[in-house]
Amino acid sequence: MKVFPRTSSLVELPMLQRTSLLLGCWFSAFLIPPVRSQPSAPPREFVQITASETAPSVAALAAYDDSTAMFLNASGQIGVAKFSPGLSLIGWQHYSKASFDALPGLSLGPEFSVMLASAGELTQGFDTDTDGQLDTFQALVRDWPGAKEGVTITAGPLADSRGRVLFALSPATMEQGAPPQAAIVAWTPGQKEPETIMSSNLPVTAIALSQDGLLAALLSFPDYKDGFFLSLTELPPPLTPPSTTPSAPTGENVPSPSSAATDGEKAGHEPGKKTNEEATSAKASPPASPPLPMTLPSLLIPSEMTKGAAPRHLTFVHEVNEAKLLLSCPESQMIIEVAPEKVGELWQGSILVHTITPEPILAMSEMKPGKVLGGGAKGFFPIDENIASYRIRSIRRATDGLVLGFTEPVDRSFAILPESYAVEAVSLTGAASPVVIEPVIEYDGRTVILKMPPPSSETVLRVLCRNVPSATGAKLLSSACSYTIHQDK
Amino acid sequence: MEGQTQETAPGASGSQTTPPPAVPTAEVTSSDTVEQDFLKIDSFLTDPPLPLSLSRKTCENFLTDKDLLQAHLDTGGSPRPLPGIFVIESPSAACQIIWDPQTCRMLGVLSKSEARMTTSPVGKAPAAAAPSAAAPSATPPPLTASGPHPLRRSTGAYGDPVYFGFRWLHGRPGFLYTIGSLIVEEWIWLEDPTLLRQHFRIRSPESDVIVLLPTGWSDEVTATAGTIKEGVLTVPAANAAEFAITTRLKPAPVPPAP
Repeated sequence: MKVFPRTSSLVELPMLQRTSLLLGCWFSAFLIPPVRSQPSAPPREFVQITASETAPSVAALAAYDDSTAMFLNASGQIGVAKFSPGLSLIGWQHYSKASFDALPGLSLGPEFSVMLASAGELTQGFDTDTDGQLDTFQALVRDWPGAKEGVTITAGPLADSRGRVLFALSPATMEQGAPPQAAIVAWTPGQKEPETIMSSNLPVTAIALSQDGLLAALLSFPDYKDGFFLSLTELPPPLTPPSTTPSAPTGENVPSPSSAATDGEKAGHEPGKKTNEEATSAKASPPASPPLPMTLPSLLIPSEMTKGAAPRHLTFVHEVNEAKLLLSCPESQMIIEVAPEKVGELWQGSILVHTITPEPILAMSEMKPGKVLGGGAKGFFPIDENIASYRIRSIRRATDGLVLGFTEPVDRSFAILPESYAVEAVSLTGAASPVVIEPVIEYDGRTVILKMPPPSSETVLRVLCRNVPSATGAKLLSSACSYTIHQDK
Repeated sequence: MEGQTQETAPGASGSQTTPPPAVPTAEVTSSDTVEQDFLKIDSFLTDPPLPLSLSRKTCENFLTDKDLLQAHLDTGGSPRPLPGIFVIESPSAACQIIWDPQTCRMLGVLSKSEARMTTSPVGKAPAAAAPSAAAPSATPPPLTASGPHPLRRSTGAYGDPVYFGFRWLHGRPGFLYTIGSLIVEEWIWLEDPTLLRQHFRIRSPESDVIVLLPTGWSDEVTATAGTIKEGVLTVPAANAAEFAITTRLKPAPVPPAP
């Protein structure tokens, strides 16, 4: 999987520039000085965060840079926290003392702004007077299909690289007789209503986006007790080109699109030069009526792996040449790791236990490549792989079986025995059949190949390492892992 | 209530934290009219007499007026909870001010013990708290809104109001919305535990602004501009860009003897 170099997500997204344009229009109408859009605007003051050992509660997290994160506390207040290179908390303070009935999601906007969502509104907060406190909060979106009938936001917001803000909506019946469907929608600055980019038969409870556009969604199906559904879908491009015209109100106080473009030039666009996004939008003509992609369950997280606890939050972590997904299960304090793999048009991959945290983790954010910060009721916790623990580090397909990677050399006397493992092939219908395997230990002692007949498509291989201690006698952190195969490579 | 559960940032009131600068007052060029307007009109924003907190919550539907209820009915026509409303309160006041972004108006002033808030998604919303020890013993009665939007009879105030957002400056909330062609900022705070101030800023008003006062409360209202007659405040266009309404919250009525 291609991994983009990490950039400052605050200023380089085209969406954010367009957002600034829109806000400039509105702020002028309301006599609010645009956020640093004028050359004469004073530079933003640095706010010194006092060192502290007391930690805030954390319900949502968004990395600002390698050592700074915005967060939402349990009271719905926004804060900012500073961390050491090892992600130990140095200090924190409120970024806004207003409380929001917000969902557990936070996304960063331009010029130190923050986006959050409640059931009925997507909101963006700004520090217009650059005093280190959010002072202006704009309702970006309050209307969407079914809003008047009780459809609410259930997850988000997320900013994507195409200039959109993504969030999920609760199920609604859009056509008479049709089953209710949830949706993931994208709002582009200038549009009155968001556009639906994906629909789902199951409600969406959390979403995450990788740097190269893979959208992960947790789907809720409370009646199913054996596992939890995760959807992996590549984010589709915008269906309609973004508009720069504010939807309302109209009048002499609201600059025309042309004057907005002038503001855009101030904001950093070179006159006459389109961004890649704009060029793409200009070239692309809107398709007639493209069918909406469905967020179908891609992977099933076995409940035995989470100790029955439902995943509540997810985030991507980008390592060399690959992006993995981490899911936190606060009730069991388990962090599950998913390594997505695309075969054909389908996403499949491996699922294993990443670590067990000292406290329930309610929020996570990748601070720098491979380094994830978690948060919960008792503060912040780096999500380490817990190098000291002995665990299954990876599981991948090979032509003749499954390859298990361990964090430490295995005890060869046990690991070589077929009876030390139990492997099942579970079909889509739920029927499970045992798989005969032959373990082969690689020279490094940390890799075990479970040779087996080629499994059929649409199969989940569930592996239980019943008795595979490390060479030093350590017990596995979790003996279970699984690999979902939708189709052969 | 919120003040009891909100977390205090370390050093938030200490001297080690760099104090935030005041609203900028210098280096504004004469051509920068937007900034100048802002500074001029911003002059009323000094620290409020009473410390206020602002929170957004979901509140049990307490509305009875049919005009107000219209926007808060479910598909079956039953009242539904009020999501995302603004609650303004002070530890030293026994009341809460409720402002609704759906209808862009103050829904009422309720006693803290009356307002019932439901759980927020990120955490447990604090339950309605009993008045603090410092609060006055006489609980103000509910001031509930009724009828059409207060600015509805003003020229240009057509259609449903559209909420834009809010500001929080110097501890005071200001709500931004449009109603028809009127662009409105409505700042609200408490001068003292029983004195409610609504400060309106209307962008370039071309006609007189008419404000419908809450039914039965016109005797308790004074305004910085205009005249009050039969429950209606009429502010001349020349003064309508900025005016304030002060409402004396009445002491609790004595319940009739059985």
